[in-house]
Amino acid sequence: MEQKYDGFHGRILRVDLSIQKVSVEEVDPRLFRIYFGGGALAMHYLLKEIPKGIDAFDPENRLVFMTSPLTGAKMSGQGRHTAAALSPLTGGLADSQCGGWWGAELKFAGYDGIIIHGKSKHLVNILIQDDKVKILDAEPLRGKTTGEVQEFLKEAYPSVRILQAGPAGENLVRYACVSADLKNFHGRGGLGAVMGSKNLRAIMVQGSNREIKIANPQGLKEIRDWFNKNLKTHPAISVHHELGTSKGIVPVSVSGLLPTYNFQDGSFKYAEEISGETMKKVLNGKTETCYACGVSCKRSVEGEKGKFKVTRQYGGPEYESIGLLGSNLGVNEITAVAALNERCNALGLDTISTGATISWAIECFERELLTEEDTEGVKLKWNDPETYMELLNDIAYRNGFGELLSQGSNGASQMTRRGTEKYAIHVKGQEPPNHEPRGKWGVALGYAVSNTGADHLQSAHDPWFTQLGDFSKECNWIDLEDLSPVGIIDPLPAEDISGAKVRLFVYLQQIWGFHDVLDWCIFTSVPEFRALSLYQLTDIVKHVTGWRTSLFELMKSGERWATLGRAFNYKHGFTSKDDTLPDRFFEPMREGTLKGHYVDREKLEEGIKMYYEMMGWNEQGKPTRGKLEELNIGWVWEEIKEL
Amino acid sequence: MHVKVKLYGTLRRLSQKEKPGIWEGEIPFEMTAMDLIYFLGTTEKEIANASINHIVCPLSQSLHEGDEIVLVPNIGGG
Ligand code: SF4
Repeated sequence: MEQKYDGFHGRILRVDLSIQKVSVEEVDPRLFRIYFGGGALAMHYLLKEIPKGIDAFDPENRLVFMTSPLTGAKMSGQGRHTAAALSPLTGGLADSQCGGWWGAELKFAGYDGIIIHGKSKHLVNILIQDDKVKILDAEPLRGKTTGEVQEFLKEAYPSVRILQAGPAGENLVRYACVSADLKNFHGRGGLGAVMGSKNLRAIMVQGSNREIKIANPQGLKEIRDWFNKNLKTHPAISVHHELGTSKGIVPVSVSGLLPTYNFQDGSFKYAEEISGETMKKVLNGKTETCYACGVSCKRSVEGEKGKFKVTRQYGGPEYESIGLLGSNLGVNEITAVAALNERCNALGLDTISTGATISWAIECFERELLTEEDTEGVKLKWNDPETYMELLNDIAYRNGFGELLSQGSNGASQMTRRGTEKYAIHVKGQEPPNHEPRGKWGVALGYAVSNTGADHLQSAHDPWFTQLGDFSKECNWIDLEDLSPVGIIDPLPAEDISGAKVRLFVYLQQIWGFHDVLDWCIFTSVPEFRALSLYQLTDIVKHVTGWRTSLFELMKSGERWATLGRAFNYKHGFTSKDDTLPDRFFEPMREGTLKGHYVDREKLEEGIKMYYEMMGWNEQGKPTRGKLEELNIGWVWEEIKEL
Repeated sequence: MHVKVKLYGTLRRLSQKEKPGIWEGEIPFEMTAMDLIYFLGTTEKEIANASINHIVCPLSQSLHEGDEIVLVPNIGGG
């Protein structure tokens, strides 16, 4: 199928699993100009099509996979795609980006996205090979690990890229993830369980048109050449290449910001033992990459120690997983952490929510709020990876105590009660990732107002913006200088939630947001690195699409993304009451570099109010009609005006 | 005076060739952590935190024979 527009096809595949019907929808190209793609375009469909008041496991829930005009372009960071749905973990929005190769392959097959609805009577796979789309029986694969399914399908279709839910998704574990070729994930929000609820195990894609048509190939090539030349000598990116996200474990622990023992402490005595540096040595860490990416920051590890063994089949743990399956559970040995990560991946469990749900249970057990009667005889304690390994199976297959844990820390504590709710560390039902907010209040604000529950990919990691950088040095992580094109010029303390901080947050959320709608990897650019600048990002969009776009329009697309998510949640019953943090973050930290630090509740509440005002939302956090019109999504008002 | 410095993130570029992430050697007496940072060839702008013998310290703290110093930059996760 010849590509109709520069950067995109204007074609979306619709699959109704209830009646096993597949159709192709031509999409007005204006929608791509308004939304760009990714999470925002996905939300356009979710808002219109998911009825108010349904459960996430209702066949009427939509599961949307979306790319952007940049997906598949030959440029580092362009291999990502989005998955979005009504989340079974939060009851609100699930919107998650995944790296790897699957998104580009979908574009090569001639589609910008897939919308799945209904529910199949039995377990199925979808096979997409250009215009040939088939729904195939997958019952024989039921209960098998992701690795087994991958091998089986690859034998039959060697060239496909495979997105799949694991056994946890089949069994409706509320935080089941979706894996892409075993090594990349839509980790958060329970999207694997949405797949499972539709009786869909895997989506295989193979495309024959392997070149994305773009408007100005020469312009893109110039930026690509500049990037590839510079990334070799860029100190931050070269460290990122060498160690990946796991590079952060020791620095974050020394800074007092590493979640430890169910978010009680911020520094972990054994951070070095579970660090990226140790992983590289002990587990022979190698690098892998995503589609067309020169940064190549993915991990691949192997090794054995005691009862734990890891292979390269599932890649290796990232920073977030090392924290939630390591320090936050007190596990002090990297092979054990990597093995827990591998098992989560094989079962299709989100490593973050899994780790945090187990740490909730351990703390409750320690405090005698959970007993052996509750745990069905399991004695819970910190640093007991062998027991955790068994629990992972029990969670995924919902056996014994795993049945309770399959609900997530919030769900499990609501079922248990007896004061266990206090130790369920979550926002809107989703557990925080590996970033302690008590030392960075912009992250605290981000956790509180995020539409997907606690999420670190919302906005400001404050320590970056505490001083004026030395731009000439070009060797740092990002700082204020990188944000000067949007008028951020003054340094701010990390533990601050003044009007200036909220303004920084709002602009950064727009920057993170346009990365989301463009399905763009943050590790190639501001907001994570001083590599591609805001201007270069804008130029890339121009070169790919031919649009006369600007940084202004990119920022607006990020704002639109945040407001669409807000409207979606509002439609599904969320209000300003849900924009808060668990009590623990308002209490002094127990141990570590930032011992005694806490988030000031009143200041945070004031900051949230100011955030609504800056966003053009009312006091309930509901987008105003004027703001929706200004963002060119006036139709959204019809979805929420009565509420 | 002999000290061992562990370097993380971008600071790894300051390590000795044969020991990634480590700088180990003689430094003049009466140095503070801040002096050490300049001695190694960077400035405090790049440092988020320093610890001496596993205890986080202000950069004004003096160093002693045999100290193990950890220097970390501001760094996010993923
Ligand atoms: S920077 Fe890393 S995560 Fe991002 S696209 Fe490249 S290899 Fe993938």
